[in-house]
Amino acid sequence: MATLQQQKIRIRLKAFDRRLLDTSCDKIVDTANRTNAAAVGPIPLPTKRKIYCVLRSPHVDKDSREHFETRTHRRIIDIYQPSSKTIDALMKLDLPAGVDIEVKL
Amino acid sequence: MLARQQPRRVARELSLLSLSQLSRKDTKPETLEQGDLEALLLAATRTLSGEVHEILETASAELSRSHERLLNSEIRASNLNSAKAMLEEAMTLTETVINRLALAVDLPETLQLAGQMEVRKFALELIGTVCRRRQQIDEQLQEAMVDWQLSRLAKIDQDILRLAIAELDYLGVPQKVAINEAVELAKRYSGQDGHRFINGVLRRVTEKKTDGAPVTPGEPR
Repeated sequence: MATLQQQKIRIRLKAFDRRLLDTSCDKIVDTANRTNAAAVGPIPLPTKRKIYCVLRSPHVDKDSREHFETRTHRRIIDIYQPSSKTIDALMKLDLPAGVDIEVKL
Repeated sequence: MLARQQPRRVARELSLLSLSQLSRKDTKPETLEQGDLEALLLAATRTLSGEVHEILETASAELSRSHERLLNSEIRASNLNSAKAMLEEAMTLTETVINRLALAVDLPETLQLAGQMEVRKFALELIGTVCRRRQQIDEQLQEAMVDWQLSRLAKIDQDILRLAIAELDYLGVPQKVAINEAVELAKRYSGQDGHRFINGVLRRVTEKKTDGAPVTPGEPR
């Protein structure tokens, strides 16, 4: 697979809500495929769990605590052989606000 | 010290990663060739290794920045307060570096195992089975779910369920093993209550098969 070594864009998506994440992944892959670039993915990464432990009360009773957590779902999409058209289309793409997108060339 | 990962578990994880690349709209997953399956697997491992590389790169960049700050705090700071601020910055940077490294440490073992023949073989077998029997598997799952539609689940949950059914029905893996592995995958990749849901659905599927014999309560998930 010689094509895999060529230029690529790596898109990293992060979100708390996986429904949003899935739809935006689909959108990106669709756009890439429509513009004749090869999209690989979405490949899921393990969900990041960040746990916050807080005292329940404002004062004393230190033994009683509560856990809160945030779960960040992550996906990676690689786009190989992007043309300028692909990049244009990706720029114009309307993605939901709850999804954090990181693009690396 | 992390426990050594089992090869078959890694194979399952890899096949999950590969399966997620098949989009919902892929018209005929049944027609995929062996070569395509291997390409899927390769793409998954490549992406993971790329991820490790990137994490390490950013970590080293941050580390060098923190070094710079540290140096600055010694030679450039005009007063104690600015030195303190720089030192603090350096420390937070180092902290993020450590967190990043912890992330990176997790992946290489998976990658290393991915190169092994048996792991690849099992993963390919899994992916192949899921692709070929997609229709039957989906029907079976749909039957087992009450008031739920398979197509409306999160994609990753669908894939985990399909993998488990493929193992149960076509690869002859013992029920308990298949269910437990699916639940472990769900814990790692799915949402908050994903593993409970998956456990429930798979339980139902197996219950149906044993002619509705009640499952003894208190069995480990």
